[in-house]
Amino acid sequence: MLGHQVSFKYCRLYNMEIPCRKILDCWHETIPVGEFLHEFYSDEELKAIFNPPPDRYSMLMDLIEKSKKFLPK
Amino acid sequence: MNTKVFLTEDEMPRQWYNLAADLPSPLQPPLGPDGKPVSPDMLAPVFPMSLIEQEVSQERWIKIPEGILEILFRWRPTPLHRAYALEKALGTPAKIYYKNESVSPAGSHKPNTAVAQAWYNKEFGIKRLATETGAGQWGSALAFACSLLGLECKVFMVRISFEQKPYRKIMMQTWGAQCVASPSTETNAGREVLKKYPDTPGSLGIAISEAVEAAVTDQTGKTRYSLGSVLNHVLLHQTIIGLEAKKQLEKFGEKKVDIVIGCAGGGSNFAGISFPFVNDKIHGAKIEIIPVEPTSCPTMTKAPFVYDHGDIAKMTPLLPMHSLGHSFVPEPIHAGGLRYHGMAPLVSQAIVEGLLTPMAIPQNECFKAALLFAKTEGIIVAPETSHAVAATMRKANQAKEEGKEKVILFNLSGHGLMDLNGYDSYLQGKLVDHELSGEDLEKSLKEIKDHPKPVAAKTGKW
Repeated sequence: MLGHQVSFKYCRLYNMEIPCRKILDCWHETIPVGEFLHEFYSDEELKAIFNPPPDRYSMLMDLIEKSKKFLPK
Repeated sequence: MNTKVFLTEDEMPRQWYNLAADLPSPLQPPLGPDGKPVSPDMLAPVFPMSLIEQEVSQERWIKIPEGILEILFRWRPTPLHRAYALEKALGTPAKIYYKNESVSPAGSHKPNTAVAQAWYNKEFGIKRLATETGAGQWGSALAFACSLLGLECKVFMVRISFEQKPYRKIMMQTWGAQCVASPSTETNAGREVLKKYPDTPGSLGIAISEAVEAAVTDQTGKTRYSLGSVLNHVLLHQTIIGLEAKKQLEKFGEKKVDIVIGCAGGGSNFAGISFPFVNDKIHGAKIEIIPVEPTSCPTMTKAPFVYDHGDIAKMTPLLPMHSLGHSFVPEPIHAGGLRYHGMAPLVSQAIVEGLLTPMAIPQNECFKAALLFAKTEGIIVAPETSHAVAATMRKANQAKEEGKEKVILFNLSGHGLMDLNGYDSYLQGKLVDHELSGEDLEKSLKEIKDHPKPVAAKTGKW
């Protein structure tokens, strides 16, 4: 995605200071990231982190609607 | 003995191939956040109608306008090479061919869709395109395309990359684009993030939000948004790669290809080389078609985390920040282009159908393969492309063991001259591969057992 090195901190705080949903995929080779997450995040938080996102269309529609709010009335 | 085959401009394909027309289990229409189908007018604030029509088209062949062809001619048709030197080094009876997309001015396959998107936007009366970029490959491709078509281009580049990859930024600026670090102070989305997290390194999600906002809130109505991967129309524009390759293989005297390989992040370059061959497979041809990904961030193969075929951009609700453990600082990992957080629905559906055979390869094997390729064929490939090179070598070595003269085609999607730090890490012995043990896999699966799973439909023919 970025084409360079990234720190664990970047992935851990990726999504407005909550972990990136792919943190397990990308770090499982390197560190016991699953244990880390379970130690510092509740089950509810983990569910929110790993909840599948909407597809690209839903995401775009959502962003369009959010952006429209910034249009002058 | 031809080492490479060109096509004349007259021989270049005049139509793109749309796999959506042939998929045995059709894609569901895109749904909005309310679960209702997205209508074309709902996407109109970000895309011109012609691209929206392509997005939902079920037409098998879509004509490439003359205006787009005229620009593509500047570097297309790209050459198809026979990798004689690599074959000799491997001692394989396999015949290895590669489609060289690194010859585009931006150094990758990305301009194939950047030019098409910029052209359709210009035809629609649009004056400015906004987009996001991570590593900068897509941003530089769109900057290049806008430059040729006389459009303004605004690129929101993830801040951490903006700071670590100055040459990509300079490329974009050279082509006249305005490249800003995201989050920026130019959008409401960016300002909100900066207010809360002034030191944030940014993310693709934030950059996408900024680019969409830039398009939607331009009151002149002359700005639109452009995306470099995942969407159907993007994949469509890339199919010129595979269509050219088919003609070139014929000129090499090949009647059939046994194996087609491409690396897969968001799916566009893989779709480009493979979809015309997927069409052949649907209609009875025996071809092994392999999308390749890193073992370190798998989304298509053994990943225990396969629930996630979605996209990263959606911002989840803000959760309380945990200060505990913040001193935990392992070695950084290399985040190459394939650590992408969404796979194109068309590619995902073709996997579900069994038309594709995904493969995951560890990073050290990829760079080892890339070094051998550089020493034999001479091209330093992009780190993403090294996955396709490594998969090709695996298959060529398998052919050697089996004593079979297989015909292998792979897509050399880009050169690596702007991404040499991965090579540096490899050469310094800093890259480490770890296998996920069965125990780890079981543990991981347990961790996600309650997470929602995607629903998949397949015909069971493959």
